[in-house]
Amino acid sequence: MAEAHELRIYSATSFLGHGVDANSLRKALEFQPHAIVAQGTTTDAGPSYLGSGKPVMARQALQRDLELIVAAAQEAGVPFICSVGGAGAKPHVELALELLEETARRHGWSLTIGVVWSDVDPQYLLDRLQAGVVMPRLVPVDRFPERLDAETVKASTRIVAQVGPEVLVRLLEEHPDLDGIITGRALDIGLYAALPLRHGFPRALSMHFGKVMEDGALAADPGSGNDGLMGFLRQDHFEVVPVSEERRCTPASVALHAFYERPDPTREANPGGVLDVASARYEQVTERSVRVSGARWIEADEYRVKLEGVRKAGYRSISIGGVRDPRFIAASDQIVQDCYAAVREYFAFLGEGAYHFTIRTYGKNGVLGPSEPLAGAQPHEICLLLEAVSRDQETADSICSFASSFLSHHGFPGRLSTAGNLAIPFSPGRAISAGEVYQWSIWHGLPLEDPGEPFRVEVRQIGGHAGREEGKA
Amino acid sequence: MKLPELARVIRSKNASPFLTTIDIIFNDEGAFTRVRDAGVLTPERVAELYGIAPDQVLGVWFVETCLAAKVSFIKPVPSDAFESADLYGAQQHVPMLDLDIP
Repeated sequence: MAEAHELRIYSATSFLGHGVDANSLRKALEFQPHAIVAQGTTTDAGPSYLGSGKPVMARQALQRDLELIVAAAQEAGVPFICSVGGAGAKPHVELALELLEETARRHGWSLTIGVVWSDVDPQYLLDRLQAGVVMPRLVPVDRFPERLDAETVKASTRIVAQVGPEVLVRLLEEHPDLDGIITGRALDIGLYAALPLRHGFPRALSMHFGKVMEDGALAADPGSGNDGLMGFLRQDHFEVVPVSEERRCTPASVALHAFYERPDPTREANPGGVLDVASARYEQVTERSVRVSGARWIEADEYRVKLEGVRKAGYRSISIGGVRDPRFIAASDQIVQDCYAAVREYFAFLGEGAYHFTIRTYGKNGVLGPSEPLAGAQPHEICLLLEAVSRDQETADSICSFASSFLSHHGFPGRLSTAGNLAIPFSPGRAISAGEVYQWSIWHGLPLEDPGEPFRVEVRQIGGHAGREEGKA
Repeated sequence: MKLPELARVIRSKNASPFLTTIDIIFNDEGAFTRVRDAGVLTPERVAELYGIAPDQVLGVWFVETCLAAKVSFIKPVPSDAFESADLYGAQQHVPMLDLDIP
């Protein structure tokens, strides 16, 4: 049902909470977009956020960006589609809904929104495993079982899956009057492809559109993480242009954006198929806009979404010590080894595998470790970063504290400075409690007959009169 | 000649917590062709530069439409491992800066 002759979408930012350029957003409304879209989930910031339930971006930043986007969408009378809260699990979505509620009441908005929860119930996974469903790992990393197993599911603290565009399409079809959609963890491309798919645009074109649009003005030149990109979909191509006059899209800026953070420059696995942009064409139309066409969609045998899970690995403590003494620096490789040995001996009573202790020597090979090409360099200053992870905070703190004291007072050969080896920058210094540590435990594909099966979908009222209608959409 | 003399962008980033991907955007078509045809940017050479096994390199691609190359490999240390020092993989391009191009 290609009812829209031209479909216009505004991608407001590269990430919800990175900032939304308010001037660009205002100008974008002149193009009469049919929706305003922004992604706000990622695994980039590490497993800690999925584990702890804390948002990746500050609360205020998330609220500000949501407020700008919803205000613009309300003014234009079009829906917004946003994924929220970094890791995109229940606590993150709840926070975003709470912020939206507060904002809506302040503005006097009464919003009917669709909410898609991306948490996957462990019992659901256990049942699917029991039924013989194979969930293969998506990266060849030994830590993950080749096929997800019950033990790994049970050991995980929290599990989400990436919501695909089909779930959003269904929501838009069943509730055409929604003011907007808030999702948890979602396939970024899918947020931008949902409305095009709903309007019957081909999958290859819709998904390629999503891929170019997903990071806003990062696909422009100069790029920007908090500025937007306007996209115009037509029958067999789409056109993109940054709203801000300071930027332009060029075939290179748009084509190169497909490179970003992807392992393969032309092929990308998505739920239900592979997007292949090897045959895509990028043509300059006006000085600032680019026309894109020609990507291919290769249908897969099964529809699979990505599962992401974490497990708690303990508690972290850190300690920082600066060193300027040339004699210590010259002997530092040996001193570090001595420290490892001393920690090993002193904490042997904790038992095998009870803790991880690491010393990073910034100034020598702290960043690149074994890949460092200048391994033998003699810097004039180094920084030792000590890290201990153990079963509880107190144990981790005591390991760091011991190691820091050891290094401070270690009588290495040739030492002149017998009063202390480390410049500790502040207090507390020998052990800084850094809290819970999580690691990825699940990075697997979940095959689905129905793309919406594991996700809870609801329509709820925000602002105005509170009320709620639950159920699967 | 070293690679930075022929490229305007040499950057690294995670492509998931388990993969590092490096983008090299060349100055012009001449630079692109020169590096592509020199045959020194290969999975074997990448493995050597990063001290990893050649089968850990997922690929080295030259994409003419973008005048760019991409190198992707499995991280020797995943970004959430205790030994990791680069959560976003943002400084892993550095060994590339030394690559000699004949």
